[in-house]
Formats: sequence, C-alpha cells, structure tokens
Amino acid sequence: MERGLARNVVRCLIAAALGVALLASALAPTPTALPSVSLGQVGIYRLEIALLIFYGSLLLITPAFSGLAWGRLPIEVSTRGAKFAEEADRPGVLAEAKLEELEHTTKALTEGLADANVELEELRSAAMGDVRQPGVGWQP
Amino acid sequence: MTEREQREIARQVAEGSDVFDFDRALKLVQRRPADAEKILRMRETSKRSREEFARARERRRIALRELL
Repeated sequence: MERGLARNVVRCLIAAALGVALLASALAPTPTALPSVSLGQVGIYRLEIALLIFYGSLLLITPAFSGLAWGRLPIEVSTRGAKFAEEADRPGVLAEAKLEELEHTTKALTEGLADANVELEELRSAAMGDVRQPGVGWQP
Repeated sequence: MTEREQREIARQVAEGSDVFDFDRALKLVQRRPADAEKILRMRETSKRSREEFARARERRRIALRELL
C-alpha cells in the first residue's frame, strides 16, 4: 500500500475510533453506583469509557492494519503509536552519531592539548635562550 | 628514532587531523614523541571501537529481523 494512501486510511480509522469512543461514552448508561475509579463523577466515568474504547480500538486496529496492509506486525504498540523493526534500529544510528561526535571532540581536545604542550615547550626553551643570551646593550 | 621514522610518524599524526599539519606534527614527534604515539594509539582504539560498534549494531538488526 502506498504511503500517502496508508496515511489517509490511518487517519480515517483513527477518526472512526474516536467517533465510536465519543458516541459510546455519550450513550453509555450510567450505573447508579459509579465505580471507584471514576471518583463518583459521571463526567470522569464517561471520559474513562471514551479513553478505554479509543485506546482499545487503537491496540486492535494498529497491528490488524499493518498486518493486512504491509504483511508485518509491529514489535511494540504503545500510546505513542507502533514501532516496527526498521525503526527499532534508529536508536543505534543515533547512538553512533553521538559517539562519532564525542570521539571527534575528544580527538580534537587531545591533539589540541599535545599541540599546546609543544608550544609551551617552545616558549620555555625560547625563554631559557633569552636568559642565557642577554640582549643587545646588556652591561655586565 | 631516526629522522625518517620521525617523519613517518609525523605524517601519520597529520593525516586526518584538524589540529596538526605536517610541520606541527613533526615538531610534536621531535619534542614529545610519547604524545605523538598516544595520539596514534588513541586513533587506533577509536577505529577498533567503531568497527565493533558497527558489528554489534548489525547483529542487533539481524536479531530483530529474526524475531519477527
């Protein structure tokens, strides 16, 4: 399935899941004794129903859709979406880039330090030379 | 260390360095040969670590593919 088409299908499915969740929360009958998780408030009870149905549908829709559309299942489904094997390698790539940057900095610092040490030695020997060889006009 | 050896080490130090050109590297080798060798050793270690990291990443990628 094409990427653009897939995105549009996902948008439609999410909109449908949201619609169903909102509709179900609005139409759900309110029990006389509300569960303790809703803190005795009808509004929270309806919100919880909407969340339950919405995320429940996402958990069902996500693997079903990717399995049917691309023939592959996600390795992880969370509230932030689905993670696939190709994307799972991304932290490795990022870590490699960071390591390279760090390595470059360390190398530059080490070489800079060595260079500074050479310069210091040059200055030191120049200063020693100045002491041993008095300048013009020097009177003993 | 002969002058030829010094020049060879200086060439290696200057190669791929943002800090040293050949003349500075030669000065480093002449004045602080231990530092020059340390720089070369560090580069070698970095190279090996990079290769090991790439191999580990490849193994991880294959393992992930096999998992699915």
